[in-house]
Amino acid sequence: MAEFENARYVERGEVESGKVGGDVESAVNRPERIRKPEVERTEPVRNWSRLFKTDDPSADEADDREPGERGADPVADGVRIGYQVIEDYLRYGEKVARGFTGQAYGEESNGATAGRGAESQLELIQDLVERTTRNVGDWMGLWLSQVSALGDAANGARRTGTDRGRSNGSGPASATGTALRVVVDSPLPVEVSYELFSDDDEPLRCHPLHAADEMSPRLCGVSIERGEARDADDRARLSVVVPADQPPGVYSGVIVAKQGGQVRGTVTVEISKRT
Amino acid sequence: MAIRVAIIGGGCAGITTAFELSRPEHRGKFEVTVYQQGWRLGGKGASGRGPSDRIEEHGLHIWMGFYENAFRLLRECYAELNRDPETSPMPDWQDAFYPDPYVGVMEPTADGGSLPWAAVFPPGQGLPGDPIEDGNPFSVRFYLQRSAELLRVLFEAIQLKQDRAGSPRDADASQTGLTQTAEQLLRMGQLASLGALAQGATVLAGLVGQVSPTSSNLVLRLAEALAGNTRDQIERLTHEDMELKRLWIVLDLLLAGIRGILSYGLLTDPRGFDAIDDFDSREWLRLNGASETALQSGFLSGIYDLVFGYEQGDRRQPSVGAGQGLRGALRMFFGYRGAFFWKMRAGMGDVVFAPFYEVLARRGVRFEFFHRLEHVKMADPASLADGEKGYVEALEFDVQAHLRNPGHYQPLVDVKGLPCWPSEPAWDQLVDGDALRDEGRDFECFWDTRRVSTRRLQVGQDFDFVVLAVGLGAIPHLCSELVDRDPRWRAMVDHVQTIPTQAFQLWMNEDMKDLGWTGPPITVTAFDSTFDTWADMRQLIDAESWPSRGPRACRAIAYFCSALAGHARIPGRDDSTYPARASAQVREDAIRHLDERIHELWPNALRPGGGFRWELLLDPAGATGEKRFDTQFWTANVNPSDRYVLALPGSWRYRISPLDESYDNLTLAGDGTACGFIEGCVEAAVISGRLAAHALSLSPPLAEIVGFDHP
Amino acid sequence: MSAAAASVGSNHVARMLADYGAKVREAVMNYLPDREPRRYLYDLLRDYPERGGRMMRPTLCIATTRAFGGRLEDAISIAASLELIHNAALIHDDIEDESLERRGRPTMHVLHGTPMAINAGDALMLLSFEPLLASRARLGNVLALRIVQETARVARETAEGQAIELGWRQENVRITEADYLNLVLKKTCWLTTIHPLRLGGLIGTRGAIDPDRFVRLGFFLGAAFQVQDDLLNLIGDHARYGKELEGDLLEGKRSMLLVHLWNQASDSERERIDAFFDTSRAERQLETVRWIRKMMDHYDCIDYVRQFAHGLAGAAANEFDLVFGGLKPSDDRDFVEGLVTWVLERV
Repeated sequence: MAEFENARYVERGEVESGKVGGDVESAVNRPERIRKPEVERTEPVRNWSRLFKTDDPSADEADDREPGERGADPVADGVRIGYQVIEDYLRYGEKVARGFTGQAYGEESNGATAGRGAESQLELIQDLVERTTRNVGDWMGLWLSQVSALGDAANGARRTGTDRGRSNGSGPASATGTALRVVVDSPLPVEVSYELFSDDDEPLRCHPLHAADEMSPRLCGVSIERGEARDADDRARLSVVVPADQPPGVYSGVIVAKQGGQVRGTVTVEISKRT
Repeated sequence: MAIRVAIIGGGCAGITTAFELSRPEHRGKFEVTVYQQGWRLGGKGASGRGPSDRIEEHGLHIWMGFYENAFRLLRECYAELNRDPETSPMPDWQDAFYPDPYVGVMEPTADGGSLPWAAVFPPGQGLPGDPIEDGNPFSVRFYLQRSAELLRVLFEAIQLKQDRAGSPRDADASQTGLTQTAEQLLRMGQLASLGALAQGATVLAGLVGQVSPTSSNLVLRLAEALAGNTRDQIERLTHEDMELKRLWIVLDLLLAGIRGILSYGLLTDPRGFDAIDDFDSREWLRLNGASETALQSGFLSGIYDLVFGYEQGDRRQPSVGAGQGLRGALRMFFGYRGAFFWKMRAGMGDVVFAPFYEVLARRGVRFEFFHRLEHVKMADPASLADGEKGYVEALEFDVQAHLRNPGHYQPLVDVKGLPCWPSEPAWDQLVDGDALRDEGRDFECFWDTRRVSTRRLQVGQDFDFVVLAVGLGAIPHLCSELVDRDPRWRAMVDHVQTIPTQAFQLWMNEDMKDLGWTGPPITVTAFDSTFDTWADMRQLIDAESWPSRGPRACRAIAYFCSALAGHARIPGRDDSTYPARASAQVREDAIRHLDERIHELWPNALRPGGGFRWELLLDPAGATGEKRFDTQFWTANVNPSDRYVLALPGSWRYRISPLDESYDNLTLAGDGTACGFIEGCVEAAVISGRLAAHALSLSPPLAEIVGFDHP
Repeated sequence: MSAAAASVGSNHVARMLADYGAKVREAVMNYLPDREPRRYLYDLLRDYPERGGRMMRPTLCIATTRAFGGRLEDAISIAASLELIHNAALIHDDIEDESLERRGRPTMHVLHGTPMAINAGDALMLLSFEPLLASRARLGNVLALRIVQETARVARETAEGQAIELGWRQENVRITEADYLNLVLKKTCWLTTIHPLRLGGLIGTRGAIDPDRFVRLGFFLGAAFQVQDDLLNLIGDHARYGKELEGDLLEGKRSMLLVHLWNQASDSERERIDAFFDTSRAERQLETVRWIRKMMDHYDCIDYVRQFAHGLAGAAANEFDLVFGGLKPSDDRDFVEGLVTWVLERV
């Protein structure tokens, strides 16, 4: 009931003495009058989240409360403030993220944010190349090749391309092909590359590969299979099996269509000496 | 020196303000005078006593279990009244009010008829008006946990129907109504589906109780899945199974409501439910995927009937703002304590206004009866200083009668130990009382403008503050200056619509069982007829003075009410025959209702050749046939201040709050104001009265006014 | 979770970290060629990875992959990439923070000078793309590209987070708990937990899952991790934790402890704290650091933050259920679950 005791009524005497409202003259001439007190608000509070703080884990800001109050339940604070932050972030961040197609690691060494947003993969690559050239190093060659491969993928390249597969002889190759998945089984270090001219889905085969040196035996364990192994994206598998006694050298051959025998591509396998 | 407050209107709102301002804690700071036309307090809630002390009400006055403010004040009043239990028939508020859990609606059937669907609502925790413990209870979780309980209710409704169906009547295919024999509901197959439905819905309700803006997406999907999965199931079964269909209807509406709350972002919208109020309730539910069956169900119609939600009173134009509708429905269904309905053991005047009158009189509040306000005179705007607000300069009254003993009018009569308001003034206390009576002076009728004198009250001399607690319908006439000069007042009277209502009451010499209603006493609504609501009021028989035996004994009492269509415009004051015409129209509607429709609820009230069995009615005059109706009670509530305020879509914006500060000695009160709970009911009026008191005294604190702050 | 169960959980986490960690370390070394120029590049590149580390990020990635039905082989190169990025970020962090020690040894810029350290950090970062590209063979172009995009995303988030923090250091602004958590979200959580989870989910489901489902879990896990880090830095043992005692304070970095302290402190105490942050690193007095430390005791900040972190961990547990709850039980799923408590227990 304390509020009403403090209610600020305009008492009769005040009007007369001119303390309130109007100019003194008219105040004196007018009959004295009491006025309603000022209310703190005239509308009901309809804001659900403000009303139902206790129920909603993502409800109101802790900042509204006094610091002293805040320490009351730290565990609950953790949950509440945590949810508040993440929900705000998700609500806002979604919009921003949706427009985002790719920005390189844009942190400058002085801490400024890279404000530019990359509009496309191409820009991403350009950015990478820029950065690469800014820090010239021996590994630039490595990157340029990788980056151009990325560019192919970005441009939705047709399933044609020069690919390189590497193996140090101790495990499956890390192949970076687009059209074929290269699988190498070899005790010797090999590098496999191929070219495929068509992206038809027709069955292919590979003839045994010849070395430049006519004395070396043909490399027979090269085949193209499609289908049985469940690959990530249903590509045909280029399988290269190298026997331990295969002389080092560069072996090449053609890829032909299974039916009809037309040339569809080439394969090159470079076998290095055992290190 | 005390601040003088003139309260115009002794209805729920005005009496509430008087009760607040005269609290002992104010220590006499306010000197309150209530100005009332006619001889009795109550306004739209007034009642009187007629022949055989029969109670005569303006309509059906039933309180709801969510009326927290109304019950709190009522209980305080009874506590302060402190009647002696030895001598008083109603010493405690619980002698006056009793819980009524039986509710029914008329459900349209495939063949175009309708069937009553009755439910027993589970008792709510505690009693209305109990102190509220944990901060603000009106939370999502609170509401939606109650929804799970509601589902259980619906199961029990099936049981109830089973019981009634056991009554010995033949199932005549051509006869709609109670006589339909229920099929074996407890077939295993159906139980399983009911169980699954309930479980799914309960899970949903539980989930929704946990809902935060983050998980709302998930819940929305779940609600949709549930709706989708069960709809097919239900629609297959609804042909044979009415009960399952009803269960589904409520679930359907509940799901649509939940979906709507989530997809319209009402959880976080600062406007709360007002954000959707421009839609009609049914329209909004439809937008949120409720099925047509559910939308046209008696359940939803019943809600419209409860709030007379019809534009111009026309049943073919249902219109309730979705925001107010949703808020009202949530409070009504999930906020009730004790029981869904609370009925009174006597007239509302006897049970509510007489006790308040006594307490207020004891506290020193003055009452000026027979004072009809005619005009609110505002200060001339030209005379206002810079920045000074407008104010009420004078109040102009017609005095309808002078008291033989000025300043002392005893308005109450004793009926079986209970102080009650009579249906006529105490003529013997009035100067020339006999003459006034013989002239047929109707002090409550707007079109009876006769008076014995006028009276002018002046600001600063006779009053300091004015509380205008008249019905909204009376504002245009009383506040013509305000309406002309202030665009907000103009907008209010233009956009906030009022409609008249109609009611009639029957006293009968056979009991309800004989009439063919075998269930417990009930309130049934959604009756698609001239009168959509019937309430079994047999509990009032003992409060009235009927012989206990014999042909004059009263064995049943029935109240009927509905909106009155076709009276959108209030006729000019010179149209003196208007009230009689309206009354005749009501009589006709009532007779038609009894002749043609009531047998759907009371099969045995039908004569073999058709038509109502008029001999059922108690008639001391002993007339025959339809003329027996003339000694019953009916009323066309067409007086402007008696008109019911509607919550049409978007109309909430135009209402003015009791807290409004535009005029610095005037405050509005009544259920037509912007009091937070925008439905025409006792609770809204009481809230508005408390707000008006706050506007004048900053007490009670707004936080104490339960439900004012609410989405 | 009972203490016994918790310790079982922690043992399991430690075991998985060691197990997958070893595999990832091997994969990482594969990408750091042993060739010239060694002294100016490749030795530097190998330095931080060789110093060891918890391997939490890559392990989380692999475990998530497998929990969602993917194979180790599919995730290993991505995991290696994560570790490379992490190490690159450490190099740069150490420069920005002017840190002197990392994992018990001098930081890279202390050893080799800032220009070379920057170079090495950039190189590592760029090199981290290589395993990503290599993954195309296994995962297909579409998924590989998505992973690249994810990586670009986390780079941006991290950069923004760092920028925010640097901004705080330059202008002594008033920071709330929510502000701090937002910083942690961007600067730490993305790289530490959110990103590995997202990648793991994408790889394990072959791109079917919506990676946003992991954001909350990642946030709470990472936040609990970081807040615990703040605590450890203050009260942990120097030898085991490996950084300067109270180093963060000296560096003027914000932490939840500081936020809480500031909120509780009186006006005059706040002035003193603000003054401390307004001075440069070199001018900051150890004495004031000690006083701040004492104030934290006085206002029970340690306790508060500890419990706050518990709250975050609790939320993480909740989110874990939402995301991983429907998966088949497995060591990998248990690992992620165990992380919830592990982030609080590790020292």
